[in-house]
Amino acid sequence: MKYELKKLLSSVQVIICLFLVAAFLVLFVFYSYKGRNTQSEDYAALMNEYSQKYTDENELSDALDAKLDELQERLYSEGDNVFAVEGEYGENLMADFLLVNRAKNYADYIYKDILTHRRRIIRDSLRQMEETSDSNLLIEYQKAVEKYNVVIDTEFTSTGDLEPVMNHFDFTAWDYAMIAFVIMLTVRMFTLDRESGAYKMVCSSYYGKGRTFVNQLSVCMLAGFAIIIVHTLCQLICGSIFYGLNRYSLPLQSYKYFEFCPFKMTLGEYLLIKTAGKLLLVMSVVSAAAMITCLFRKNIPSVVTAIVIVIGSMLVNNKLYLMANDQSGSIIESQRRFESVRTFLPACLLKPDEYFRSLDYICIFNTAVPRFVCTAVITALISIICTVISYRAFTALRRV
Amino acid sequence: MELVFDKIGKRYKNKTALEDVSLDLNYGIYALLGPNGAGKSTMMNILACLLKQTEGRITLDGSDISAMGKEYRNILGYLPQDPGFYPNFRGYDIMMYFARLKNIKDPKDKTQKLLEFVNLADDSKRKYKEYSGGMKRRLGIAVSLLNDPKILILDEPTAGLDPKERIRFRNIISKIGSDKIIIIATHIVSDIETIADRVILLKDGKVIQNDSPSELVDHMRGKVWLTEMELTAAQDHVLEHTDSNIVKSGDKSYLKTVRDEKPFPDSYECEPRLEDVYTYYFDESGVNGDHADDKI
Repeated sequence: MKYELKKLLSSVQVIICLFLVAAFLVLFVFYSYKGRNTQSEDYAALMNEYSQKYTDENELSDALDAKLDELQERLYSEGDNVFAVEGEYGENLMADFLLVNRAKNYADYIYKDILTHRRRIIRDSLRQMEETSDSNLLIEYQKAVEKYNVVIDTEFTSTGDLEPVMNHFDFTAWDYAMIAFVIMLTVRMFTLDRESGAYKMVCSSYYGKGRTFVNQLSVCMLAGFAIIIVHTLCQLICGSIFYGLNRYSLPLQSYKYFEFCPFKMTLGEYLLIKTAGKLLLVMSVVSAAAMITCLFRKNIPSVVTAIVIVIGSMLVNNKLYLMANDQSGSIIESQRRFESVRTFLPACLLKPDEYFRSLDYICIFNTAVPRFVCTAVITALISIICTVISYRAFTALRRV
Repeated sequence: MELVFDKIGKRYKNKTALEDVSLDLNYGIYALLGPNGAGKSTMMNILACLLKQTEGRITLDGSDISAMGKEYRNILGYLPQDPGFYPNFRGYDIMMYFARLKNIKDPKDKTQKLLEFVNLADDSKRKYKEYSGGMKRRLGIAVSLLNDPKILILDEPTAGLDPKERIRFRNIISKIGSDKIIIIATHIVSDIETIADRVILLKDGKVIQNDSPSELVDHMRGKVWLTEMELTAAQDHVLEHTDSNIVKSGDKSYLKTVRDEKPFPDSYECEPRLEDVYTYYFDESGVNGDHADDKI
């Protein structure tokens, strides 16, 4: 595989792609640095102090309430000097107020909101179960009761900021670019031998087409995986340094964004699953691009076709997502369309948070299966089918 | 070792590339001679297992080569008509890559020896894109020899080479050894005149002659004519007759014609050469008729 990698890196097209990937990542790091949370250490110190001082959640809430009242009074009395008076936790009095307010909101979230909301979901589900005769809906309500009737071991601690990290690193332009890069790498790899003229000699050698195909496909997948892993590492490092996101053992529900996640999983587990989903997507993109290249055998038509198919599916996904979140028109119909597309389109693995933010199950043969699992299985199947077709096309004896 | 072509045919949708080709090849150098489009490359591709014939089969010591797979490819060396490698690879890297593809046990040693053999040892660190046409061909030959093949297929190996490189190529082929079946497809007669043990003439997908160069030349006796002629008259003649060409000797010019009958009353016979065989069989003017059924 060493020489296949060398072959790939000997192409100008590939070098340009990798340069653009690097440029994207530098840009992400720069923007996440610019938008960094400078108060994360002060906030962590405040949370640490209160969690050590108060073991009982009610005492802690009361203490935060009292502190907030005190700060409000001081803000009122200081008037325009709130930014000049040195704070206990932050730079000034106003910063103190914001930090305590944030801590109080978090305490309310973990000690009150989660429980209240879950109780409500369970109560509603039980009521719906009595009223509905639809077996699929019944299974879904049962699943809701089962999944939300569990204790989440949240902790009053500084969790770090998850959403800004996601906003800085997971956005649509990058998704399109990354997929386009993977397609271009794959097409280049599979057309290089033909275009250079080495194809016939490669095919007539001892290991022949079979080994060459496997090596080339593996190198393309590794290159795609490398892009995903470097991107994920950048995200983790920037998240840790700039946003205090380093408690990977916390339950995912510790973040309000994932309050309704039905799965009992930690932030670390979620990030691992998210990365695995993206790797699976890269696998399917590589195998689809390889298949198209093996069938077309020419660089430009293969790149164009693969980009139209793969990026096209992503555009469909985005369009349906926007329609589903549009407040006008038939939201339920749009939502339904979006959900069915999310089950079948591998591109949806690029936004895995959608699968984990709510009870996202589908009923297959009277069994509730997480939609993410369905998408992952379908993606894996697509990868296998495309790989088999491309292998057959690559090794077929055709006019050379 | 016996390589047998048994009634090989290859048809595309509306074109027959090869028809009923039967050959029996043993150790030696075989020249596959024919004009462009005669089916030489198709035959080479079938022999290299890159293309599947539509009729017949090729056997090596009784075994069908298409069923032999790796076992066959292990003894096969193939230099295609327009070989190209990766422009940014060094010569040495190309050799090492193919050494791995060919499952060579000691790739470094083998690579070094072959680069010396084709006189590229000093240029092995240079990038392929910096090589001259001749160097690229020599590297191609070195790659095809990596596995010490028992069957070596060279498709138009001298196309685009200057005379010096052509001589160098001939020297390399004659040094390769006699324990191989070497098949050289070409339409350049001088390349194989001195090195081929047998010459196979291919026309319109059919084998029209298969004999040693000397016997093919002998067959031409009484068919090659010289006529002393004014240069301008000779030039006018060759424009209309593709079986003739101009030969100059000192101040005199002659018209050399390859034809069954004496072309002019003052023409006289001369010693035939292998290139006359080519002119005779592949002349498109129709003066000599179709020789597909001629047997020596």
